[in-house]
Amino acid sequence: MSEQAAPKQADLVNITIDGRQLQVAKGTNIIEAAKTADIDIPHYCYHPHLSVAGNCRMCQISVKGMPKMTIACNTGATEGMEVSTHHTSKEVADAQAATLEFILINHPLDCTVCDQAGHCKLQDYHFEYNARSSRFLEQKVHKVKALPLGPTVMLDGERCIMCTRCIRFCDEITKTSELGMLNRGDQSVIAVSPGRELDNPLSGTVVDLCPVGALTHREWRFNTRIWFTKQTDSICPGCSTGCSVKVAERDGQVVLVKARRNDAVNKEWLCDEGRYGFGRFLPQSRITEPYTVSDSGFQPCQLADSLNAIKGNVKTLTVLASPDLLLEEFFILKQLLARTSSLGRVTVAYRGRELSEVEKILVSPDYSSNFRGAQLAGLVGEDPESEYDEMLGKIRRQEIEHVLILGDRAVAQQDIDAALISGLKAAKTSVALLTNRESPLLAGVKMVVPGRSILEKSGLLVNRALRLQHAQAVVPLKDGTVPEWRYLALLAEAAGAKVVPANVQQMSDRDLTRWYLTADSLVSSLGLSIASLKDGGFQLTPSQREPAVAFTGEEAGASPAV
Amino acid sequence: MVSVTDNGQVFHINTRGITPTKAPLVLSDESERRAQELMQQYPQARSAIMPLLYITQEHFGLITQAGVDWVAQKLSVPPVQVWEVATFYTMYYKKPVGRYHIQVCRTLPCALRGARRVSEFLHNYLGLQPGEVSKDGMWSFEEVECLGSCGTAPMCQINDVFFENLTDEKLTALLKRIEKEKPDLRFSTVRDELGSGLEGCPKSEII
Repeated sequence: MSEQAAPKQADLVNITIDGRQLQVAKGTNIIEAAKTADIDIPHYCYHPHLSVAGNCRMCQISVKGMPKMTIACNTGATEGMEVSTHHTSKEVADAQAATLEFILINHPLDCTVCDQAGHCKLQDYHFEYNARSSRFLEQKVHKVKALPLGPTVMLDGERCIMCTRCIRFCDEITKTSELGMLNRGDQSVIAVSPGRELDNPLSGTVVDLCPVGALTHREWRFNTRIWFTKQTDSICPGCSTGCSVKVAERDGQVVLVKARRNDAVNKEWLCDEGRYGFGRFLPQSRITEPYTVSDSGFQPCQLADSLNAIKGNVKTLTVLASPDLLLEEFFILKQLLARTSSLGRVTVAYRGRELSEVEKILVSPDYSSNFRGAQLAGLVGEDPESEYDEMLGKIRRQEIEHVLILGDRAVAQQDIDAALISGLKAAKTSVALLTNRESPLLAGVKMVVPGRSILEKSGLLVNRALRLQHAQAVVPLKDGTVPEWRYLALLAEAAGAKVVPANVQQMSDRDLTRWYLTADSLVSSLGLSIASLKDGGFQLTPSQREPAVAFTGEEAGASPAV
Repeated sequence: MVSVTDNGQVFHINTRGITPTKAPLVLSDESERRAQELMQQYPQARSAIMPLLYITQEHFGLITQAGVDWVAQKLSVPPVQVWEVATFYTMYYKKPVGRYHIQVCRTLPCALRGARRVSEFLHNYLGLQPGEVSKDGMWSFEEVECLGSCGTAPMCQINDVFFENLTDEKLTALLKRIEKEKPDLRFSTVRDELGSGLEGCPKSEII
């Protein structure tokens, strides 16, 4: 855990796990201590960010000098402790096998129809630590099946192993206490408080925490077997918290979103809006070729036509940028504009929002995942919302001549009205990179280029607390689409700005990121690589922002209090 | 309000259509005073969940949502945590019991001294299975684990009063007398006193 990363020398103790000597902070539980030596101790109920319950008994270890086996999650390291895990102690391995046999006594073993099959700790551990058939011949206890606990989560009481992670999450993290464990012994069942529902803004997180198939997403039940999906580690673009997620994709659709552990950002939580709304960045009806819009309708055209239309106007170009553009894209945009004219004509859609107490645990007060990236690139100032408002006012007053719209979210949905559309129509040149064929912005622009959704792009995002993270494309590319960075690079090339990466036509997103990490003075001295950003990202400091925009204390404190 | 399966085993709360009590429930002055007293005995408020549940059970005759809400609000704990306690212990009744609720001890000493006979006698006399309530609401009986009166086995507890060294004759006399006199054997666990109506009779005399 991060707070134990740099303990004082005096707080370190020497322990031995399976004969390997380790130095860990005094009191570190043995699961975490073993992890530092890459020794995996199996566990169900233990979670590093929840209190220790110690009820699954799976993490048993043997400690020299203790008369009986003990549980690793609730055993703190002390000087000279000698621990044997299942790797070296047959006694421990037998105890774990017996624990599993007990846990499975009343388990329905309905893996064939269980959504968790394939990513289930019960399956994995049984295979790894027991792997023999049950000796239980008696009648199993039956409990509630398919009981909705709230709008998002479904309970299967029989699959539950009573680890109480979900209860502890609602008690300790959201502090909403919707869940409890009723009855006792083999009759125990998880239940929601009478008269209430499990409906807090982080409710889907209990499904991630559930090590078995007892809690499932109502949204995604029976969608697909997990082994038919492609799973990608990425970053949620829903707001500027930038939570780490694992996204499962099948047939181009997002079929499951899990929180991924990142202690510096989201621990292992994820909000329902980000999770269940993950697919909202992927419109069903796609624009797949460039075309011109006129009163007579849509006319297919070439990409070069749109470049030719605006390359002469770069000096007076107004850019409306989606807040989920990549940092690389903001960088190229800056190069494009800086080479040709002064800054100050780029805005990023930014709308603040009120958050409930539970949302404040995780969610940032905006919908703009990478507005910090735009700030870092120096395209946007300290107060993006008023800049954005100012720009919308200008458009509505028809003061804009040449406009480039980057992304569907370049104007927030609630800000699109008739005045804005007619303001856009009044512009002499207007090119939009859009993905959604039903985007209301289509009514206001003269040329449309098929853009890419943030879910189809890999690149860098900077979260509200200035953590640089690498988001990976989670769905396959749509044929015919042009990533915003390539369009910007081609435009820069056409406009005569020779600072963009060469061979942009052949570059992949990863090539772009590699190029960016060495090309931008902001990060080039940090020696970063995509691989080094893989695990939790890299924390930038306020002084790395450029140009010198003051970084106020209020904003520094805006990182969510996870 | 709450749903119990046919065999009374699995108890889960149906969450639909239940509205938690909005206005704070107030029980009798006596109950409120006792709750205040009890709460002061514990360093942590939540420790008083069990005795307070008894108070609501005495008041309502069983554990109800209103009673749970009362406890939760008195102790500032989430209602579900009070439900956890109430459903864990069998001595909190989630279903109505009879006016006279007989608990027959069936743990080893009583079993060796004829607890099964006591159960069978009650089954025949009252026409009830363990866990059932008679149609007129007078009687219910259940088998329980040790009530701590092994020296006088076999025994049973009717509401809060022990009746010991039971034989068929004694039980017949006892049940007939209760039927006739209808003594007030109110729940009095917290008060630790004999229900009114039988105060004059030492237990040995009743038996």
